[in-house]
Amino acid sequence: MKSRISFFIIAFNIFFLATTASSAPVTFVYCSEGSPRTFNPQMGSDGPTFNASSRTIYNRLVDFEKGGTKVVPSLATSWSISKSKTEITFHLRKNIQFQTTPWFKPTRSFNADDVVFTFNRMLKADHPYHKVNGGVYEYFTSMEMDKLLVVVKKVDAYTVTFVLSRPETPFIANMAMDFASILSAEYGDLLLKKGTLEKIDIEPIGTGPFKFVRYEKDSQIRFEANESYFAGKQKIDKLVFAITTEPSVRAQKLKRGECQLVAEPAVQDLSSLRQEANIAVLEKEGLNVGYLAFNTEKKPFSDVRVREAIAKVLNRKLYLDAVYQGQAMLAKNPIPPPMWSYNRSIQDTTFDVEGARRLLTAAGFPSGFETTLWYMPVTRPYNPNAKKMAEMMQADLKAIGVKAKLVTYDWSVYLDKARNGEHDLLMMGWTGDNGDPDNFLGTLLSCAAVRGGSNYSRWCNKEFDQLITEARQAPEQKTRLRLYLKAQEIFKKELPWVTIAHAKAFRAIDRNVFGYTMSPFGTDSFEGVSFVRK
Amino acid sequence: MKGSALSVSRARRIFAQILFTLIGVSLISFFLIRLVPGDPVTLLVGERGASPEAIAELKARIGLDRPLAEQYLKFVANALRVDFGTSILSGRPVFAEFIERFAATAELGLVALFLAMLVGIPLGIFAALTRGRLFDRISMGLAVTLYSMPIFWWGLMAIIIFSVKLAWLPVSGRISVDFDVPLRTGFLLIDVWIQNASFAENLAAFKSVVQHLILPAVVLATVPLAVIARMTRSSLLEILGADYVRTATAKGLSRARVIGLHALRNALIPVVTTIGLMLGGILTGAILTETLFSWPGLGRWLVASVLARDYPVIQSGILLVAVVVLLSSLLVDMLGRLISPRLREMK
Repeated sequence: MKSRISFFIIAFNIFFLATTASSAPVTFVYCSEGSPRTFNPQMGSDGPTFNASSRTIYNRLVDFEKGGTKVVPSLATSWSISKSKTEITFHLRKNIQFQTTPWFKPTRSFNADDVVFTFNRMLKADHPYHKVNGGVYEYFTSMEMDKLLVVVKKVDAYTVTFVLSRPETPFIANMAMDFASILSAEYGDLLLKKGTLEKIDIEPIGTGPFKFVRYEKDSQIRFEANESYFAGKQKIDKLVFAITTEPSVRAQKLKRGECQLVAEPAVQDLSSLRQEANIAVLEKEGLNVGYLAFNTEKKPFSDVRVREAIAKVLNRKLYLDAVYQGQAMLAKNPIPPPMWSYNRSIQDTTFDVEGARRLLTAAGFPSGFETTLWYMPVTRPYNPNAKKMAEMMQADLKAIGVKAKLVTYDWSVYLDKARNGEHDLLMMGWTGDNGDPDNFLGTLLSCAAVRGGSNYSRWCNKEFDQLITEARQAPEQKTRLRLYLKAQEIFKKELPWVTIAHAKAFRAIDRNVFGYTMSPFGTDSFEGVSFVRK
Repeated sequence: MKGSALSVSRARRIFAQILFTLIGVSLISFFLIRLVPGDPVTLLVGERGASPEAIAELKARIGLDRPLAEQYLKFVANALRVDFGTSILSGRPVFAEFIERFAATAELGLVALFLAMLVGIPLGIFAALTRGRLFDRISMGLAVTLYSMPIFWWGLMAIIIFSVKLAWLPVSGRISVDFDVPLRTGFLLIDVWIQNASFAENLAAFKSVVQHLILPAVVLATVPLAVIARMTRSSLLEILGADYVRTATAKGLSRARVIGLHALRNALIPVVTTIGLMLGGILTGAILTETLFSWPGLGRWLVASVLARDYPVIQSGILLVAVVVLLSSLLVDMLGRLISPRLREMK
């Protein structure tokens, strides 16, 4: 009997050693915050869609450096701008394979045809894929790329030229944005022959580090390492997105070891997560700004003295603690500090109630005035609690006799009315898309953006506009830097907004994960990440 | 002959009622969401904004530029051909999206309902039989407590206690990520047995599915359990006082036979009707449970669509849910008739 027991013990030990010695596939679970809308980033505009498509399955011609905003080569090895500044030519990397899956086996490597196919799908109304799966290219259309892009020309198999309707240097950074992910023309042709065009966005094929395996609606997305990835096969063999919309549940899953990385943990969960020995909380200055826009087309906010008075009376430092729970930094410029051309020499507006009163008296409002203060009804990355901030602002404004009535609407109505300029004082904010200063200064403060619907202060300053237009067209970084620094000085003098805060972004991660870096854009990439289960 | 004539006229009446209800639901679901301010394009574009032309172009692509009446007629005409439109958010057919989520909701809902009945009915019976005594007071007090407990808080507490502190059950999801079970029927309790794997693997996957079902099912069952227990108790008490029960007892039948054969059968009729009414609520009202436990069901899907003003999903999704609720009510109605001869005789 005894010998039989010892035999079993030995056998068990041999079995145990054998199973642990074999290299088990590494599975990494990411607790994501929402379901992707589609697996085609051309049609998305939200983090969950980009994380599940552009950041995993696809590559772009150029990319942002890991954890930063600098544009680096990806599927294109180099690029050049013509003398006319309207032709941008990309030289493509050779020997890059599209993914091999049960539904597609590529017979050729990536080339110029894929680039032309990708952009023509969005650009040309007569393209066979243009209307497939809804055909709403939200980024492409709202950025008016359809008006900027004249034609995408294949020069030879590994050279592509983009012809633009006007000089636009940020176009290169735009090519690193998620919507510019490269699809496979060969896969497109195959589906066209089969008559199953819709599959292009449902069973996606890209060149990226992970291959799509399966999506179980609102529950999980499964990927596996792309063995032919041009930068090498990833250390994670299986990547699973466990879709967990409730932030507190995501935190509990990480504690329990059911996932290794948590997207967007709730601020109130951070302290309990920090207490866990095997969990690290990462933070990064976000590429965002929360601000209060003056409707400069309306009196009395057309007067810069009134704007400055309000900027002086708002005790913004208190908002950082009360609204952001200390997880933000005071904003003095319209662009955030991680962005190149951030003007560090700008003097911030100081809190000065007496000074504010004097300014208001000089502007003809010694006893203040009545106005409306709009706050958004939703939590945004740049402002977690707009209502609370509005109440604090309302109290601050009383000190100089400004009686602000708080106003809010359903989010889409709020956006709609603000776009039409119906507001007086408006709380708003922005999260950057491509790390280019034009994405803030041009998108939010140019004269064209008043009509474009994203210049909520409706401030059109000729000198400022001239500077940012020149900067947008100048190919040299040095020239652009000088122009943007100057533009920020004008902004601070004219104060179309009260800049409030740059909110930090957070991730909670298992300490046994290596190689993960937070992106300033708020997306998550798993390239180069490894995980050692202990 | 008389019987078949009756059933034909009854079938006709039921069909007319269903048709009338569906037309009403389609009208309400179509127009109500359009009365709510906001539109999907503005939400898609967000803070970025867009020029009036770009906004108009995006609206035209979705078909929102057409007159409302035209949009409604197109919706109805397409629905009659089982074409429920395409989601604005995902670009995928609404019907396919509905089917994918229906199974998850049904699996959780049916297990929860089964649990609620399994515990609720015996609890109600024992409470009725021990009326006024300690067991009755405790169990009915418990029922009121369960009924008034905030589901979200209770669910989160259950996760913290049973998943994180005691590590007995998983936090959320339908199955461990270690198992890659392809969805065929959508019911994971079935799908784990029809995947291409060994019996041991299937069994392990099944165990994982059951473990994942326990917490959400218990949380979802909380309110129905309380209602069923109270309903059973009051219904049984009423029947126990009826003349025919007294007669049966006077005839010398044992207490077990009186309760089991005569009283319970009649006492359960209102309970079955209540459960039927709950079925609709469980299909659509599991939103909080689904959100908390990351359950990929209909409730979460519909709420996300309303928040994004995904009109095709809202109007068709609600219509499809209405069809399911109507069919299940019909089924319960038939079940009720089977139990009660009196109902069977009613027109």
